[in-house]
Amino acid sequence: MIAVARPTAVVATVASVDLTVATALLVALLVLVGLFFCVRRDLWARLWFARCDPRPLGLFRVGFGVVVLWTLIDLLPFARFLFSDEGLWLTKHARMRYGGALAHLWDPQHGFEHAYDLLPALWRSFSLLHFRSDPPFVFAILILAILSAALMTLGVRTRVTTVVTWVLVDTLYRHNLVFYSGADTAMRVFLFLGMLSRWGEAYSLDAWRRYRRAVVAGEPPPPRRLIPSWTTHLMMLQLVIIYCTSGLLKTGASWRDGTALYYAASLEHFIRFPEQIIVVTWLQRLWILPIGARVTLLWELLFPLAILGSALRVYEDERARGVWVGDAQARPVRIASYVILSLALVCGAGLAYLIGYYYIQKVAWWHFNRPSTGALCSLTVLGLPPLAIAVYRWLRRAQPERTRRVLLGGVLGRRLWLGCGLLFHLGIEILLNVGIFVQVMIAPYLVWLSSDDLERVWWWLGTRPDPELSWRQRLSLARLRRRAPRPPCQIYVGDAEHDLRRAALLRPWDLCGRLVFVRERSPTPGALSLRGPGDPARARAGARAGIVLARLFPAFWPLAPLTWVPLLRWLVGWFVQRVVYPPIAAAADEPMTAEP
Amino acid sequence: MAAPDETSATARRLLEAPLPAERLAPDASPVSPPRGWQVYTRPLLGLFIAYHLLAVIGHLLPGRGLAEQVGQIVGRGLGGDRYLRLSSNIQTWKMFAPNPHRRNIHMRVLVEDASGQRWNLRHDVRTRRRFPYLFYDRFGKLNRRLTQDPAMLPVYAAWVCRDWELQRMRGLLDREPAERVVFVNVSNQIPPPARAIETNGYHPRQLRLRHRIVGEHACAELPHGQVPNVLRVRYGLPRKTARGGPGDRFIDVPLETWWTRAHGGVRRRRPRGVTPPAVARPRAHGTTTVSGPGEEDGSL
Repeated sequence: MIAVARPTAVVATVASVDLTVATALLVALLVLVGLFFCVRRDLWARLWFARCDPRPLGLFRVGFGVVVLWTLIDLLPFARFLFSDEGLWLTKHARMRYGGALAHLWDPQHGFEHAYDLLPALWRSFSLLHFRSDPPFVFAILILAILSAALMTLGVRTRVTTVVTWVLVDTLYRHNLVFYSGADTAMRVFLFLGMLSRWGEAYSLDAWRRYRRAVVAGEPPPPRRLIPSWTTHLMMLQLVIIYCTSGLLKTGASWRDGTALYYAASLEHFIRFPEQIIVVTWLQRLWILPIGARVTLLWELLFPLAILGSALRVYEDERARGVWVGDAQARPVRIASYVILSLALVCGAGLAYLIGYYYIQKVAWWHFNRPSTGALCSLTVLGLPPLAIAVYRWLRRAQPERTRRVLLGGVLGRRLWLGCGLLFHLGIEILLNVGIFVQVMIAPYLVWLSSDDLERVWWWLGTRPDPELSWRQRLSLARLRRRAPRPPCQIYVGDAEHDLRRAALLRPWDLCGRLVFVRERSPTPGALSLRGPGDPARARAGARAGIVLARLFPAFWPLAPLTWVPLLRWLVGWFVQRVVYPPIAAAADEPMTAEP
Repeated sequence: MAAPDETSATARRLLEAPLPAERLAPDASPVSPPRGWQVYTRPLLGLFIAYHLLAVIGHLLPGRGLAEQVGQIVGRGLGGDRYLRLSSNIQTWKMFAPNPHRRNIHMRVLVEDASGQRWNLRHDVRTRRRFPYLFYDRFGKLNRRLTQDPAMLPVYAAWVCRDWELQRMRGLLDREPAERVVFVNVSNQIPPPARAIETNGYHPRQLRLRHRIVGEHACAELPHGQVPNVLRVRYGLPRKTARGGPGDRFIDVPLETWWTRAHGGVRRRRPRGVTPPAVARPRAHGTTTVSGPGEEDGSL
């Protein structure tokens, strides 16, 4: 409804009686939602306390950590100006403007009056830089923040390093607010949620060390643990909130007449090249930007459908498996919850009337008077949800497979909504320089991935287009679907148990499944020895083996380009084989083959 | 030493079996019943999640109109705003909303020295930016902020004065002392799409510029517009004496701490002959000059 009926930018003066009614309705709505979940505690528990695969969140930690690092490194050249007393703010002035209660509770010469004054000082807006902000101190804080963000990204003592990163990043950002952009806000919001999550359970050095400890001790490898889903779901909701709020605020004429993207891509503050204006003009002329502006607006406003689709898929999947929590509920409880939902719908309809009355002048192409617009909005809110549920139930009964494929996998599917988002952000990145906004918004897409999605991604990265494809097929999308395995990398493993355990340490790194273990005496006993993919001629050991593994293991792909640089490649190779194949002590009763 | 069949079993377990992962059984619910402390922690966690969402949504409700009072109830009554500030969750998402700007607006920063000559510091994006613009420039955001928030101008001017003086004292700048900082709003109108299509695009640097002086701030009168002793000591420069004449005194910002309150409050001393900061308003507002197409900085 919001997408069709665009609210006007001008806020009408609301009569006080209507304001009271609207407040009462909104409060009642919130109370009813709370009551609903009190009655249906099973749904609340399913929403937040389910256990889930840690890998999507782990991957998000890596992507998001890189964005945080990028932001902090990007702040280095501006640190003296933005944060130090040789820049924009002397310490006292920054404390006065942004320090909250600290400005009064702390005296530079005499400290705090009482020890307990520290608590209210912390409460509002606390930054270490409000105590001192000489350049060495500022740079020390920034360097520490960079180090802790790097450790967080690698997953070293992840819980601790995430908290330290959050504290240090916040110390920098709370010093003053003048340089904030939307990207900074998004980064801080997601970092806070990351701090609450167990995002170090997968794709982290912590997880690998846990695995290594067990394998080296002769125990069975520890299983990857499931994690609570509430932070993942909060992150998904946060992304929905960002897009939906942004769409609701785009009430200006430019977004309706399709000139918004033209103007945005012409602003001198953001453009990458002055010459791009010619391209932008052509895109406007060819109706690409006007259509893009409207699609962007619709996509932002309707982004909550993506989360609705996710919820529906979970519901259908668990119902099919007979584990849906709602099925176990007693009938009276369910009836009570439906009554509460109906009351909430009535409150929503009342609010919709007022919104239509005050803010909406035009619905699609038709103008209505205020009461008619209000009534139309009210009826829509009252009728649309029951109608949508009825149609969905009918579709599911009539054509279950097609409903699942087209509706849940297509219209409400992640591919559509996240794919549109990728295109939208890619367009921004090409035309505008808005800092790390694009990266910080795309990183949370990773938490939307399911376990199957991730496994498909790794499988895809570990395969190549089927060699039997014709050249025409190779140029089509078939090259993405018809894949053949890449040649494996053979690792020589000796017979001793110690050798087996040491070789097993390589497995967690092999996300694309490229390793094959060959029980054959190694040509270089004790050292890592392998035969590279498509390289049957000779075995490689030591740094040479490390070079091969740097290209095979996704964790080292950032270093992979260096393996083509003379001299540096040996350093990378040595480092990689040292990390993934550390020496381990043999058991006392076992003969050691050799130490590298 | 392990027997061969035992070694083979170990090899199979370590090298061939899939890496172990906790998985949900197909017939198991993903929600396990609370165990141990979870009986107490789950309700608390549930309350926290509900409060977090309520605070975020309450904060994002429009501050005016129908949702005004609910926003206040959640933000102030339930402490939502405090919680969001504490947890760094204050957020607004006005990305090109309600409309993208239709003008390029820059704030040009000029320094007038003791000889009356004006120097363009090239802080505005128009004179600062080099194309292609590949690495994000935080100065750009700050410059936009200056055009939107007049309260930032004295703070920025004070920094310009301090920095100019410090560089001069350290021998890094061979100029006269700064007298005042002048802010000039430089803007141009982005041609509407129809006109741009007619001309097959345009070059943004050739658009007609509009200059408007929006503020002048005298360095001697600005709070924190002079080099403080802490910086002088850091660079081995002579300290300012406690009693100085006009232009020779560090004007501090009035900040009351618990200690100054207990000892009679902040003494708002001002040197003789110095205009109080509150009166030190921009000298000329809205003085408009229109320059020709493509004109760069000039000496306004």
